Amino acid sequence: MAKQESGLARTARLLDLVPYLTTHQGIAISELAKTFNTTVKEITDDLNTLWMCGLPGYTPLELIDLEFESGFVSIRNAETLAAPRALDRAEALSIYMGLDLLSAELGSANEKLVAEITNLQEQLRSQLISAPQVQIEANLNSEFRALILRAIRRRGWLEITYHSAANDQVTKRQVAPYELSQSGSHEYLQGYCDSAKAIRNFRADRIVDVVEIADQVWPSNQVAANEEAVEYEVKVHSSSRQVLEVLPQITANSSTATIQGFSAQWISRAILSLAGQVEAVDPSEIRVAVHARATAALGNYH
Amino acid sequence: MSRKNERLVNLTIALLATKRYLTKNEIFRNIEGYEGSAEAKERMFERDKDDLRKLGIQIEVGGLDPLFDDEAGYRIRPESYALSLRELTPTQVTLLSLAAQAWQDAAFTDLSQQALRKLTSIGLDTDSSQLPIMAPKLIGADENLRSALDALTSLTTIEFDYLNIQGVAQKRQLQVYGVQARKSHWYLIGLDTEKNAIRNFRVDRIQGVVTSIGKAQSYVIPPSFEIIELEPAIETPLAVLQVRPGAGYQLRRMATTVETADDWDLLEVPIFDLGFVTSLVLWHGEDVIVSSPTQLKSAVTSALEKLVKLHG
Repeated sequence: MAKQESGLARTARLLDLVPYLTTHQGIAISELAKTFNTTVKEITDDLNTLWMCGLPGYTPLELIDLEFESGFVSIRNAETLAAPRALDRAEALSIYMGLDLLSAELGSANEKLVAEITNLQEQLRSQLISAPQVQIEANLNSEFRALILRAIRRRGWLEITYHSAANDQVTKRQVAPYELSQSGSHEYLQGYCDSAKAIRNFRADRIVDVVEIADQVWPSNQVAANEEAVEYEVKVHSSSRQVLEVLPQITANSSTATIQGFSAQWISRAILSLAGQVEAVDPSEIRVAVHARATAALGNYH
Repeated sequence: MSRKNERLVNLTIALLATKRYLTKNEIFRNIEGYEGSAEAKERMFERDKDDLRKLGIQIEVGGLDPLFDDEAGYRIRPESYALSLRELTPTQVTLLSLAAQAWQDAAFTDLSQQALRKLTSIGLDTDSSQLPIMAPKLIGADENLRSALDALTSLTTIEFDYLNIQGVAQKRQLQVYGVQARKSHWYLIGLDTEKNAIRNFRVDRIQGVVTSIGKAQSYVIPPSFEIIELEPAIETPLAVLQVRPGAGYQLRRMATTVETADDWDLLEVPIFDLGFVTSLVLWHGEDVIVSSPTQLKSAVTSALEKLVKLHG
């Protein structure tokens, strides 16, 4: 949508350059180009255009006065355009949603900041006609996020309390965090896990607690390899939406599939949860495990 | 192109600076760039007005004097042109920049960067001393999320194929009223125009691409519309579950009450969605027993019987 209006995007940039320059006098052209996400040539063209603009009359008294020969820009006589333009609907919405996440991550522990955010959101809402509803949940609270980012930066160690869905266990592990990253719709903490002696990915929304611990030796680059994926054969009896989402390797209309998994526990629980829509075929250990668990569970009712 | 940009900037300046409405003739006479025949100027001016409006600049039209049949005049009110988040504190500026940065690499990254430039043009310093180190991130670079947010911004109806519970794609039409990020998934909430009812759709269940149908500004979001929070209400049915001590972490987090005992702990878990609770109970195998309701109990036991038969 924005592409076809590249001429207009340029007009918008010209208008937005004036207030930015007014409060950033003496900024280098190269930095200005970076801020506006464009090239030095484009920005120089913009400055040359602005230099011809001003109030009717267009004598030096009315024209915007720009100085940029030195490679650094200063602006004068541009009071009319000096106030930053109002946020448009899309910009306001993007900020509004970002604030919602911020407030969710800060949580109740930061009442004062959350109140400031609510205040800003109300101001933004009041400017939007037909204001959308927004509700954003945090994957990770801000306190944990801060500890993780700090540890990544200073190469520190953390003790992480983590809920593993495959084992249905909450355990504490010592982790040297490498990075927070996204994959699919989830956020992950990747790091060297001392109990596994290998690199592990932890889903951010399953982290229960984070504590800084005394520094240990940072793992060398030659850490043990990642877990190896194991392949499982399954028979598909119904390719419902739930099946396609729990086991994305299954496609609609497929009657058999090969699933890659990291843990036998996880795959047998996944098959249990699918209530017979999918059948474990190979390796036979999985088949036996599903049978044993289902039989034991059923035994609870007799 | 540069001539046109120049004219648009000059027009904006003149209309902003004027204390009274400027007539077309005054505009053509005084503002640089209007050239050619009367008709050509007229066409130029109409296009310019459209362009400025597309940029979100509101041009006000008014008569010079209501008593005379005067020509219409034009102006831009500085208060509608300028950012009106007034008297921001350094902490607030920091919060706003963090909010803009949250979109990095996600659906709205370009728009939030534009917004951030406007905000930093206020010229206030940020103050992060009171804030924890943080860089919150909105997850979601999905092209369909962007299309849906654009539709929500421009109030345009959208159409898409949606995977229903049986795993079959169905065409749906939606007027988006709001968005929600819950349990790591994006949801669109709005009016399903065929069912004429409020529905929500998980963005990753959309097959193919979201397309817009009809014009922008084709609906309004009812002011009374609110996203309903998923919190247990009095009428939400409760499942009574026996859970082995140490097991069922996720169920415990969902539970409204937990009674601990030696062999089995007793949990009450709200049932928002019977299918979801059934799967979750099954996931925990022999570590969870359903006490009530009967409906859940029989769903679980018949699933277990089926599993035993299949794998026997």
